[in-house]
Amino acid sequence: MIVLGIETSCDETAAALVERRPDGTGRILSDVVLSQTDAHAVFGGVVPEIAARAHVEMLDGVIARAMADAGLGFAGIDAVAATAGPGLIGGVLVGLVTGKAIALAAQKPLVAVNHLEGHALTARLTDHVAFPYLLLLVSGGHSQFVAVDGVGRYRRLGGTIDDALGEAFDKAAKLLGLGYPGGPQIERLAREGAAARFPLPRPLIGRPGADFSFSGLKTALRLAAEEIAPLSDRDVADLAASFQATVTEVVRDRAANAMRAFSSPVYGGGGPPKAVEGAGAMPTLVVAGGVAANQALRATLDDVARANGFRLVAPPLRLCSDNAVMIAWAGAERLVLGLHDGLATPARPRWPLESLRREEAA
Amino acid sequence: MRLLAIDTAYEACSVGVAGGRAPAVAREVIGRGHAEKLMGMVEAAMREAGLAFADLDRIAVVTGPGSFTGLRVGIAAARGLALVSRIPVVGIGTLAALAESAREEAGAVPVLAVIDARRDEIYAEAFAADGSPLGEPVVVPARAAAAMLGPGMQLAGSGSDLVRAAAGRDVPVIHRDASPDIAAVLRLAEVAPAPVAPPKPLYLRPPDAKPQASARVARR
Repeated sequence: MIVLGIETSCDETAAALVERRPDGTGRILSDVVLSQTDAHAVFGGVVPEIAARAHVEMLDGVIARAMADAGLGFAGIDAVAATAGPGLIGGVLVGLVTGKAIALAAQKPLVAVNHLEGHALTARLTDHVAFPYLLLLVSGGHSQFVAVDGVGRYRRLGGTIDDALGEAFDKAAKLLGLGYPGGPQIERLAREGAAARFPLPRPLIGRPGADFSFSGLKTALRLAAEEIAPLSDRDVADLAASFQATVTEVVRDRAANAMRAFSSPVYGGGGPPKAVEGAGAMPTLVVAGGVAANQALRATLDDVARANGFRLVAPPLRLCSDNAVMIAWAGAERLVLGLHDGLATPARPRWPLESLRREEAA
Repeated sequence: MRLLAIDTAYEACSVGVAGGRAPAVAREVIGRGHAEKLMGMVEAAMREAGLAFADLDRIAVVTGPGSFTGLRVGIAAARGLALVSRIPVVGIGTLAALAESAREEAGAVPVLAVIDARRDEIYAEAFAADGSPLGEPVVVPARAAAAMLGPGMQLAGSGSDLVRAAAGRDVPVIHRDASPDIAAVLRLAEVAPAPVAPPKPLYLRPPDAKPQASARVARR
C-alpha cells in the first residue's frame, strides 16, 4: 500500500510517499520538506497568515516533486493522507483541501490525519515498535506523555500546564538574543557553557504526576540574565547551559513518573501486556516532536529509560521535526484498519489525541 | 471548451461546469465552511455534466479580492485537481467577474466594480464597455474609488452604495453582489489567454504581522 502524505499545519510545506507492506513494515519512497523558517525569523516566530500564504503557493509544486522523486503517478498510489489538525488553521485548510482535490480527481480514499498521531506512530515506521508504548511528544506546540495503545487509541498521562517545551526554548533564546528558532541555538551554546553557574527553579520536580510547567523557569532565566546585564558571550553560554540542564532534569523527573504510571494498572490500561512482541518484555519509551532533536534531552531520556527498565526509541532527526512522511505513514496505518474520511471532513485547529477513540466509538 | 469553475471568495460557494452534456451550476450561500462544502459540490456538478476530470480543458478559479481563507480554499482545490488532471488553471479576478455579470445585465456599458473591503476601504477596478480592464484592482477609501468613475460608468458590487455616497451624485447601480455569478466566471475563463503560471490569491492587503518588539536582555 502506497500513501501520499501532505503536511501544512505550521511552517513546513511537506509531501511524501510511503509504502506500508502487509507485514507492517514500511519504506519511505520520497520525502520533500520546504521550510519557511526564513520568512518568519524576522517576526521572532511563526506568523499564521504568512505561513498560509506560502503554503497555497508552494504545495502543489512540493507534491509534484514528491511524486517525481518516487517515480510514481497518481494512479500508482492507494490513498491520500493530509493533516487535518491540530495546527494553524489557515495552513491546515490549504493542505486538507489540496488532499481532498487530489483524492477526488484521482479517485482514491482520503485519510484526514491528526498531526500528533503522525508523530506518535513514526516509531512504528522507523523502528517497528509494537503497541503499547509510552510516547513523550515534545515540540513547539505540545509537551505530553501519552500511552499509545493502538492506532487511534491514546491515553494522556501528563501534559503542560503552561508553555510547551519547544516554546520555552524559543522564548529563552529570544530573551538571550539568539534568534528563531531557538532550540538549536540554545543547544549549541549550552555545549560551551557552565550549567552550574545559574541555579534555576526546577518546576514540579519531586511532585507526583507527569505534568510540565515551564513559564516560571522562563521568568527565572530572565531575572538571572537581567541581574548581570549587559551580557557577555560567556554569560549567554552559561545561561543557555543552565537553562538546558534544568529542562533536562525536569524531563528526567517527569519521565520517570510517566514510566511508572504507564506500567501501573491503575491507569486503566492494565499495564504493559504480558508478552510484548519484538523486543522481549522490555517496555518502550518513544520520544518524538521537534525538541526530540536535542541531543542533551535524548541522552537524559536514554539514561532515565534504562534506569526504569525501558528502552528508548528516538526516530531520526529528520523525522522528529514536522514532515509528511509521518502523515503518509499514519494514513497507511489507519487505512489498513478501514479508517478513511469523506470529502466534507473539517479542519480542526484543536484536536487532542485522546479524542480520536471517542470519534470511532461514536 | 470543457470547463470547471470554482468561486469561494465570499459568502457563496459556487461551482459551474460548461461543455458537458448539460450545463451544471450550483451555488450555496454559506458564509463559512467552504472547505467542507466545496469538494462535494464539485463532485456533484461533474457528475451532472457527465464529465471526468481528465475530460476538462481548464479549471477556472476566482482569485480575489475576497476572504483570505476563502481564496486559499478555492485556489488549493483548483490547483490540486489540476495537478492530477494535468490541465491548466485560469485565475479570474472577483471584480472582473462582477463587472462581467453587470454587463450581462445592463448591456455594453463601462463598469466600476466595487466591493466593500471593510475598514472604510473599497476594492475597486474599472472596466471599459467591452469588458477590458482600465487599470489594476486596488484597495482605496470610498472617495478615491468614486474618483475612478469615468464618463457614463455604472457601479456594480457590494461597495456600490458606499461609492455612490462618496461620489455625491446619482450613479446607476447594476447589482450589489460580492460573490460573483459562476456563469460570468465560466464566460471569462473560456476566452482568457492560456495561463503561464498557476494562479495565486489576490489579497490586495499585506498579512497582518509586525516584527516583534525585541524582548532581549541587553548584550555587551
